[in-house]
Amino acid sequence: MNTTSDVLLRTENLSLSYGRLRAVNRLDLAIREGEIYGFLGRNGAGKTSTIRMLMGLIRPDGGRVELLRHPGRRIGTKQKQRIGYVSQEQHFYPWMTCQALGNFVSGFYPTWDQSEFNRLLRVLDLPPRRKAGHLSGGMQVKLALALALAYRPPILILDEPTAGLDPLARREFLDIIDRQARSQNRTTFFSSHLIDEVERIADRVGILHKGELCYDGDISTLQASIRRVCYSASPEESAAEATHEPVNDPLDLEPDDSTHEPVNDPQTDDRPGPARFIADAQARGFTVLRDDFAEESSLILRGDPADWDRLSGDDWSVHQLSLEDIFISLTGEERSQI
Amino acid sequence: MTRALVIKELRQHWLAFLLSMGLCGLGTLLLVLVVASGDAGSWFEVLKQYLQTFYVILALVVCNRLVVREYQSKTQLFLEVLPVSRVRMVVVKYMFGLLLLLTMLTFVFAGLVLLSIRSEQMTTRFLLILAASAYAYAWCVYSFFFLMGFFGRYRIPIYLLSLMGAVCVSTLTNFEWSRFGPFALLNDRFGFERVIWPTEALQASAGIAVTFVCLTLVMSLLREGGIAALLAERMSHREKVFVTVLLIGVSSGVTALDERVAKQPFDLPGSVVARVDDVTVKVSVGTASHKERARRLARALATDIAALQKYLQIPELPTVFVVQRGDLDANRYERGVLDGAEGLLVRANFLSEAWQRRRFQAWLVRELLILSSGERVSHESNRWVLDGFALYWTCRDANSQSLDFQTLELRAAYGSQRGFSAEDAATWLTYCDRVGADIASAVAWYGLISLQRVQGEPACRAFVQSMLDCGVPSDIRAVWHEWQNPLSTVMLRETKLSYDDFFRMWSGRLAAVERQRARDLAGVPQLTGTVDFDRISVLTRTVRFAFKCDPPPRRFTFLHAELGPIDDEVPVSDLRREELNYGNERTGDLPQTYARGTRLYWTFAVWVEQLECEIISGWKRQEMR
Repeated sequence: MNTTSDVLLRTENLSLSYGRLRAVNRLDLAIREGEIYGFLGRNGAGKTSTIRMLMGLIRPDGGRVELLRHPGRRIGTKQKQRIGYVSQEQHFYPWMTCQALGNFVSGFYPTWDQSEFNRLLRVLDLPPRRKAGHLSGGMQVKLALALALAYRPPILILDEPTAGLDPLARREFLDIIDRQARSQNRTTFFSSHLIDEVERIADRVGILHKGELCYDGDISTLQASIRRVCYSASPEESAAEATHEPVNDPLDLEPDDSTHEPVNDPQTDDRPGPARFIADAQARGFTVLRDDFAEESSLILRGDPADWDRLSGDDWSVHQLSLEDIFISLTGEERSQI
Repeated sequence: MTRALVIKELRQHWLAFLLSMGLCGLGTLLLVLVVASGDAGSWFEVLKQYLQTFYVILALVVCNRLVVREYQSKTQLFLEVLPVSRVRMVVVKYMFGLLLLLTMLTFVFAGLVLLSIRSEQMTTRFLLILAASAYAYAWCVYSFFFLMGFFGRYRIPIYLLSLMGAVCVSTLTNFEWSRFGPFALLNDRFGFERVIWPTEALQASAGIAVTFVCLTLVMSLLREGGIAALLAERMSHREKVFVTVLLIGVSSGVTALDERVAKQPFDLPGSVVARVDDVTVKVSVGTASHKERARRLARALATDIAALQKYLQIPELPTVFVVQRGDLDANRYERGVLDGAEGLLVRANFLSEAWQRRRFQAWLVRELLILSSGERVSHESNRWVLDGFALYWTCRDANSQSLDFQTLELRAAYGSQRGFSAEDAATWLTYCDRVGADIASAVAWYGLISLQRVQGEPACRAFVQSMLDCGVPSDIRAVWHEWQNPLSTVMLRETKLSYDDFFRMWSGRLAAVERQRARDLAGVPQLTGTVDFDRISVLTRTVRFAFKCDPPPRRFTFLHAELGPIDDEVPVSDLRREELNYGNERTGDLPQTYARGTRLYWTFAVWVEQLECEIISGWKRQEMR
């Protein structure tokens, strides 16, 4: 549990709807000071809506945002002066040069540091006299970052900043973010649907799916709690399944009378294939995230990391998943529904 | 923050604003010159015209730059990210634009006060009334355009619909815009009112402006500015089609509604009434002793118009009101304006000894057809049919040996002698300017007579029925009708004669009659004349004319009128006539003076007994240098 003192950004029951569409549903987040938080989600999961609420650009339907220990329904101007923000798309005045943009933006931030801005322009290789309209997409994102960092905000919020950048520019950009965060102990909240970049720099991740947070925690814990279990059935077992004859418990789990009720529901019994296995896994506290049994004879299960060792059997093998596979398992549709 | 926003606006728009303000400044100087040469009565007429024209244009430009461009280029999203509230963002823009426009207005106002200070008595109250009216109007107009900026791609359709709505309201109801809110501030008393405060108009204007400001805030804040951002996107092809159809539909609807709306009845109390079939003619004579003449005239006109209605198969004709006017020449007639009422009101001196009823009837038929067709039949390309038919109808019973026919034939021969080509028929008004309306009408009459003789009366009747069809609605459908039924198509359809063949026949017969009447034509005088403009001062001119006629007439007339900025047909009532004796006044000066740049419309005219009409030297349009 996070202590109140070290949390710089917190949301409680944050909700937003667009008509009937629930974009964000009772979202609870807590980002600690100095932490890089990766906010993952598929397109349309509600990431940008969440960030726009955090930035005070839209008013939430419900819940509250606590920023820099100031709770409220909405972010005010004073709080905005302490947040650095890089949006998904840049909408600079095309006739302004990089330097002129800095001069313009400086009027809104009392803590603006012109020498820091000039240094950032140099470091990011941005020509001060070039007009924003003449900058490439990558350079525009860098300019947005320079503008967002020049007033030394304690929190930096980035909304899919690397979308549209080439791999080199993306790596360069992430390096800058990482360095900035580590050297200045800056809390960084950044959204993305690209797993590798989150995996690379984030300390913690939140995975948003259909407006709801389906995971919030360390990447290593997440990776430890999800496994793919593969099954290679022998012809006899398949025949037995087809004739509804009882087979050995494929999980070979130790009996646990307190949790393991006998599976004699005719509906589950009648199901072919891994029906009994799924029923047993669920009864044992595992969650079936994905049923690929029909195509790949495998299931993706989520459970306590300590229980993986209890899975045994010649026909069953347990495999570790990449963060990308885990992300797809958590946010993807059931294959049968696709 | 405010300072940063203001500097940004200045840096972004300074060039566009400077250019617009410079152009409007030049325009205002031109207005000063125009007012200086006119008889407006006050220098503040310039202020009124500035507010009605240049200020509106300037407000439109400023709001377009400040609001529409910001949202169209989506740069408002950049501003929204900055620690500045949307309200402040909008208020800064609003105030920036308003102060800019009011500064420009103040310069114009101050300049005019300096100009007026010698000629007008400046009291504090007068200046305050003037300033309050001007600034309240300016505030209201600016607030409207600023609000419209947030409607993005729909602002222009909204302008057009508002305009149509305003026209619709003033046409269909008794509502007068000139007495409402900001429009009342710039009424006829603007620049002259020194005592009475226009309190009601000021309150209404302030109320409207405040409403616009509130709506602006609502529009800019609605759904976190998302509505304004959505509206700022460019129109799709489908939307463009929809908006065009909507505008055409509304415009047609308004016109149709205007046609159906019951107009107030007009009446001439104490007039003599004659009714034949559906036709009503009312003649007002004033004194009881002339009632009988009025009754005879009413009866004759009603009979003639009823016959015309049958001949052309016109479903309905308006009531004709004829008013006796002793101060008019016997052969001059005026059409009155019946604002918002049904009917044709004409003024004529039918008690004069020189009165010619047939001539009046020809003129009346022409005016009646113009009114009944919603002016469609008076379009220049088909105009000769209307002019010719008026005479054709009036002299329909005259045989070729009758005096009327002989006179018209001689006029046509004279028109041919002055030159007549297919291009003259197409540019009929120019031809009328060259030979005079009476001669041109006779040429047109001869065309219809020729058609009747060659193709027969039924074909000729079918042709004029189609061309002068008064059943065509006078809205957008009239344009469609004209497009579908050009003269050449109607000619071929109704007479089985191509227009080229017809014109060949027409001009050939004109040439023949010109040869036949060569002896009569030899006696028609040849007219030449010049007009010079003498410089009295830098800005003032007088008109000097010189006239020559062979053979010399006893009297001649110098006709003239001042032209407006746009060339249009000059109504007869606008013409001024200088009747002069040729013996000792063939050169002369007009008594009045003119401002440099005035355009004069002039001709010399001589009455020719053989033709029973005036012939002219040819109308000229000449600018005074």
